[in-house]
Amino acid sequence: MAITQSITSTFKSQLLSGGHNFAASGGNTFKIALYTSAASLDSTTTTYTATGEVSSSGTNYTAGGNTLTNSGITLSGTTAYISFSNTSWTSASFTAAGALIYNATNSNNAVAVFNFGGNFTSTNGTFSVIFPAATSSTAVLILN
Amino acid sequence: MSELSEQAQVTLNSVTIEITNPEPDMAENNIEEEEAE
Repeated sequence: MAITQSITSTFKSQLLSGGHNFAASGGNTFKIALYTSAASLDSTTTTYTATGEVSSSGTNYTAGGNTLTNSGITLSGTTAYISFSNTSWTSASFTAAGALIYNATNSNNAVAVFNFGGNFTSTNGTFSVIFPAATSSTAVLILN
Repeated sequence: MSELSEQAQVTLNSVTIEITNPEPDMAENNIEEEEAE
C-alpha cells in the first residue's frame, strides 16, 4: 500500500479528448478526497475510490471529500496553468497521508494524486489543504 | 518535409497541509490568595 504523487495517466488521455473542463465558470466540478496511509494511489488510479479513504465516522469528514473552488485557466506566455482555492475541514478528527483530486462531473475520473509526505493528524481542529501560489511556475497543475 | 517537434510538459506541484488544533484548556490556578493583614 502506498500513495505515489502523480498526475494520473488517464487524466492525460482525457485531456486530449475534452474530458476535463477547468473553466471557472461553467466548468466541471472537481473534488478532493483524503486518504490514510493504507490507500493505494498512483498514476494508474483511474477514478475516485473509497478504499483507504479517511473514515466519515466521528471525524467530521464526509465520504468523497470537499468540492474545490476552481480558480480557472490562466495562460501566461506559452504556459497554461490552473489552481484551486484552499479547502479545509473544521472540527476535524482524523489522520490523512494523501489526497486525490477527481472530476465529479465526469464519472469521478481521477486527475492527480498527492502524497503529503507523512501522516497529518487533526484532533477536533481545522485540517487545511493549501494549494501553491497560482503562478506559471508554482501552480498546482502547469502545462508548458 | 521536416517534422515540427516541440516538447510539452505537464507539471504537478505539491500541496501543503496546515492543521490548527484547539488550544488546551488553561490549568486552573489553585493557589489561594493570601489575606492582607
